[in-house]
Amino acid sequence: MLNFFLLILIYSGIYALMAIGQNVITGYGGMLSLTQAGFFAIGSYATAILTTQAGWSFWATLPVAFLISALFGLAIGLPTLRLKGDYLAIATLGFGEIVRNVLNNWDSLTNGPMGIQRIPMPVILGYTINPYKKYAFLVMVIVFVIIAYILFQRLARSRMGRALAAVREDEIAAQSMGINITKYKVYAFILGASVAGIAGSLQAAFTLSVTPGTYTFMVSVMVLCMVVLGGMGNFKASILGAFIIQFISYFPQLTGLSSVIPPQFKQILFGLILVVMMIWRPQGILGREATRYRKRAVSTTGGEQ
Amino acid sequence: MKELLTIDDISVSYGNIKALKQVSMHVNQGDIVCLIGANGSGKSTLLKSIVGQEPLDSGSITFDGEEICRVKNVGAKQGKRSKILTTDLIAAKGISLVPEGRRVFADMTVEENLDMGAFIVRDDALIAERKESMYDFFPILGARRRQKTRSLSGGEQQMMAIARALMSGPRLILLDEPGLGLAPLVIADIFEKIALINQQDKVTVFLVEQNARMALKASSEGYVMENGRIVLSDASSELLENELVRAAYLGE
Repeated sequence: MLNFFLLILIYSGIYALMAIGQNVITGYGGMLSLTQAGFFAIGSYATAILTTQAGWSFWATLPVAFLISALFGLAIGLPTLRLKGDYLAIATLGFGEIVRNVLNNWDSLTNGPMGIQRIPMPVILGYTINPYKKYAFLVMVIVFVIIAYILFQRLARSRMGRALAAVREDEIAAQSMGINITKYKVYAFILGASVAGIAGSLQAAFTLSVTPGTYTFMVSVMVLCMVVLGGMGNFKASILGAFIIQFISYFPQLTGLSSVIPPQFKQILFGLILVVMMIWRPQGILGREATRYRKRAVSTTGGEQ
Repeated sequence: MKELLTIDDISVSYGNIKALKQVSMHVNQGDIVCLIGANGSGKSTLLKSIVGQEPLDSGSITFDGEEICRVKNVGAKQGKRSKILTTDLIAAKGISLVPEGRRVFADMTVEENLDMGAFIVRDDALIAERKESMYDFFPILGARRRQKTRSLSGGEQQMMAIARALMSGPRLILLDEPGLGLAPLVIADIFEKIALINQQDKVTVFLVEQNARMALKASSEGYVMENGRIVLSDASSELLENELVRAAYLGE
């Protein structure tokens, strides 16, 4: 039971990373993207392939997963970001499905639907982080989430955070302020993609095997739900949302009711939660974080140039 | 007097509809120039093409001696790929647009909006100084600096949009219907401010308005646009006396 609890916590952490990425894209950039599953898969397979076939260590594959996801983020971002709203959602959804289909069919590299097994466990300073003994792995995931949180929080308060806030509120006005909206949108997309790639690496190291079936459209939808539930434009809320959604999705197993409650129940529950949220708390549980960009300037009065 | 903005023979179309037909005009440094015309005559399209949001079919636009928009491959049938500077780069050159309908960042406070207007300014002390002078110039904004812009009245929002545009320290400010949807007294107030900005800060103003009388009274040069063409141009005081203008735009 405790073991199962830890497993949910680990998955929550991995999803929290993806939700942080989604929050940059959707919460800050205001772009409805449904492609986190694609980047998640790319990160997982980068780690899986490099560790099993090239004999790399898990840690060496992390920057590669990061870079490949970022590159795909750029490749997807450039052509699709002239689309808005539903159209962007459809285009990005397509990308996630393309990734999964490529993984399914590129037998020589990905071993097709069978996936890749026997991924070596991550080793740090001679200590093997064994996913079966979950504590160590949980600590590692939490460290990753904290690092991502701190970095992205800084980003939100930076020039880029301000630019994205302006773009989200009004693109035409933002342009008139001298903000290059394409540049900042693509940046947001790349960052969101790359952190999902890292989440993918962790997923591969945790499950020690990857199959294309893991990276379905539902993953993207869940990540989006996490961000919306927690509150858009708030990284704490994204992490909170990830934990809540994960616990809900394992609710039947956790309470030992899986024989009574059908597995489809969780999808009904997701839908119900979203509808309820839209009616009574559209800004999410925590709501948007009020970001003060220039604390210093408040007290300044005149002064020389 | 020096020509700050020169529009040379530009045409713009939306699909088959010609929105601007061989429009030429110029704005001299230090002037207030107005463009009047009815709904759908192409006024807003002209402003959009100045800031690089509508590609040109022909002609070019020059700001302070530097070409900011022109048609690539003149003569080739690639018409629509014409831009040479994007909107953000044009803004960085010193052209600031107060868009039609104000387009304030409604969920930000007044202060944050002004900060946003100074996005291209890297000097924090200068930004703080400009903000203070905006609060002096528009006292109502100073009083509401911590308030969400959404809660401001239409006139206050318009003043904030103008203040925001001034934060980048522009040489030319483009105003797209600053009087839209506002009470006459508020409009008079705003036009007074515009005149002051022009005199005190030496900012050149290009004003697009439907309210012809207000615009002509406030400006030194005027252009009249009809169906995408400039049909009249003269000193504003002359236009106020012009028979055609009086009949069509001043309702006399």
